[in-house]
Amino acid sequence: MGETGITEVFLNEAKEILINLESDIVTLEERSEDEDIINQIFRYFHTLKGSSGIAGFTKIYEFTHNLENLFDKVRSGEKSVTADIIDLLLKSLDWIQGELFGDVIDENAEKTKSDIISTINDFLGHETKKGADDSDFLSAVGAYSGVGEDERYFKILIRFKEDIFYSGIDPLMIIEDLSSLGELIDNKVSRNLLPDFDVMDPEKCYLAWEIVLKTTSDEKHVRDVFLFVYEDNEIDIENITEKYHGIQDKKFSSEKRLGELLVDKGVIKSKDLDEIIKMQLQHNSRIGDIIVEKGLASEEEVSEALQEQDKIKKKIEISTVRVDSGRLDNLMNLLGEIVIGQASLHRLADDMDEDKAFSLKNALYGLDRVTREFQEQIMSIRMVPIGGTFDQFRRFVRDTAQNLGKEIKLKIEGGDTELDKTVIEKIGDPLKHMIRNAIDHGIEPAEERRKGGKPSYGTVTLKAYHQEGNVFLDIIDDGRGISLERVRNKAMSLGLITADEEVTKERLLSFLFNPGFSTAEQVGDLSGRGVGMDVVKTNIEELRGAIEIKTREGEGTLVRIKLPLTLAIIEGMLIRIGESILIIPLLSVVETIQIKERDYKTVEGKGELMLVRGEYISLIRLNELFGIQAGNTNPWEALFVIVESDSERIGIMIDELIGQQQIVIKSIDNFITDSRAISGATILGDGRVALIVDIHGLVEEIKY
Amino acid sequence: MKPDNEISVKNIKKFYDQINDELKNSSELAIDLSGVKRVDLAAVQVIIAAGRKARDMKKVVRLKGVSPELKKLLGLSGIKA
Repeated sequence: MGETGITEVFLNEAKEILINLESDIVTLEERSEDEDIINQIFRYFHTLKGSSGIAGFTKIYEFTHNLENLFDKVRSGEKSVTADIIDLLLKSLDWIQGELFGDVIDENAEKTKSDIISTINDFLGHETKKGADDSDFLSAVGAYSGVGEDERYFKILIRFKEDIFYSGIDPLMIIEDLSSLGELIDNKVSRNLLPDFDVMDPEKCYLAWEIVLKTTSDEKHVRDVFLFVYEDNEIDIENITEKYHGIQDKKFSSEKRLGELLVDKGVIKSKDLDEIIKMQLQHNSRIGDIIVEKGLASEEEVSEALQEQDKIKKKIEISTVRVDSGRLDNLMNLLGEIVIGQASLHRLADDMDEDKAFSLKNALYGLDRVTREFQEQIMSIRMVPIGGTFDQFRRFVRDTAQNLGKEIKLKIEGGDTELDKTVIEKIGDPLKHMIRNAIDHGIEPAEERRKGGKPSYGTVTLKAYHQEGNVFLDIIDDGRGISLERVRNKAMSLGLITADEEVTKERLLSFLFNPGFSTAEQVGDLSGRGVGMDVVKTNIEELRGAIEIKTREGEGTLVRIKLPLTLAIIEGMLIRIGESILIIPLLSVVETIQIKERDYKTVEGKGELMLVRGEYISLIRLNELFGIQAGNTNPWEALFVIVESDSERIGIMIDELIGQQQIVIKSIDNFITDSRAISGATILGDGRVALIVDIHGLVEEIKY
Repeated sequence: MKPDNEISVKNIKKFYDQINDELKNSSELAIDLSGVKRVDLAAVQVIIAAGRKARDMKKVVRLKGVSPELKKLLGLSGIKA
């Protein structure tokens, strides 16, 4: 196991934990007594501490140790959650984030760290002082030791699996955590399995423990220490308080022990169990072994009871594996190659004699079905819920609202909506920009809102949902809306429209995506510089998505982002224009038709139109747009593919409809074309490259 | 030998090799831990196994400069330092 391996595993894990922690801490501010969140946060700090220690990030280890201590007080109810604690926790996360992932060296990092630690110590210190008057003296003189009713004894057998170090866990750290719960009144370390120095593998774990712990913690707390190793390692925790005090402290035994289970099942008698427990304490053997040895139960009966016990223990079934996302990308690329290979075979079949072609095509249809299913399975692995990305904005909304002195609530809906991992990775920045706009420009100050009859706090809603094979992300604010008059004035001042020009609301709003277009009166720290919306639009379009704005003055604004479910493979329609083959995404295709000469019209200022079912739609000659050789020039001799984008239909003139097939999208560099009407390329079965038409981009490009 | 900062599974092979060399070449193996802030179980196991080997070779392993923190960790693993 190399250094890089551990570091990489740790950094990946830390990144995930920090994201979850941030969201949970902000949620904690709203639900300060939610035990689930409190426990979750504690576990995150605990894991971060453990993993950083093993990965050699000593500074992070020491730092998180402090945080864990502080949060333990919160967990135990000694310290309540206050705004100061939330701020401190968030600052701490920032420090860890900077330390692990910062691009630049922060000269003040050390000072920040010391300040945070000293504040934590203040919190902890105050806690101690608070209790000092009434209990410290008694504790100091040992008034509570050895006699308290709450004192428990646990016998703990621990044998870690040999390769535990590979999962980034240091067993010693677990033993250390266990010892922090109380006193190890007996600690036998078994070295039986430790090989001789010359043959040992220093990266494997050989030691085992048999510990008797005296503690005031209950069994659940003791088990929590082994939370991350319970499943794969031999951990046996037994409450033996009764043996020390002669009192059965049943109220704390949350799980049935093996002996009790066997008594319950009628396999052994309760008086036998007492004797067996005595023997177990004397001989340090496993209780199951003693029962079998004494002939009180068969091995099968013991193993059945153990399985039952395991079922109780396995509160959290772990049935997942962590896979490097690069491997999924490779799988997807390989599948792409298979799809291209299949297309080649289809083409070969076309050139064969009928009988052979029939057999080959039949075989290929079967393969097509499996490939499609295979693709769906890989796609489903690549799908990630958007909730994690949404949750990251809790902190951002909180901080931004605080900076601007506004009261804002963030509402999240549809967090379980799944999107391709690549889309999720790229959507964060555009979303952040939209949210910042909503907070900065959309939501009014509390006073203004009250005057307008609205609640003093504004609400920003992030919503995700599936519709028609796409994923929609809505960013909605109940703020002042966008003033169309101001947009119009700005558009006029920039020469985008003339004073007397009639412009639709949609077109006016589309100007907001023009570079350098801002209606903000004041350039703030956050937004209003007119830089950003055009970048947002470009980012979304790079994901083959679209963005639109809907607004009503005084009531609010909705920004809707439409994204494809997947970026890698689409169903495409192959068309021929002249000698060129192009692909039109099947999702955009409405129908293919031929028109009569009388249905063709040219209108001044509007170009060529054709009448389709009583509606005039624009006729597009891609050969002119792309500068490729044309085939048919008379529209009534050509075929038309009617496509739709944002309720706008256009007819693309083509020479031949070749067919429909799965298309593996390969991205093309900007220097090949900067046309928004092309979204990528694909390799055809015969090895030729065909460009993929981006219908949304095409409509946009011809519209203005 | 005087390792520094930390001895863990991350650098355990190097530590193991160093101990192996020292055991071969010196009559007494002294490990100065004064610069070590933390050890993990991998390090502890190597120290225990080295102690056994040294005994077989009629040599000794001495731990020096053990901080209270380290002493606690070693104690939990059954080493009295």
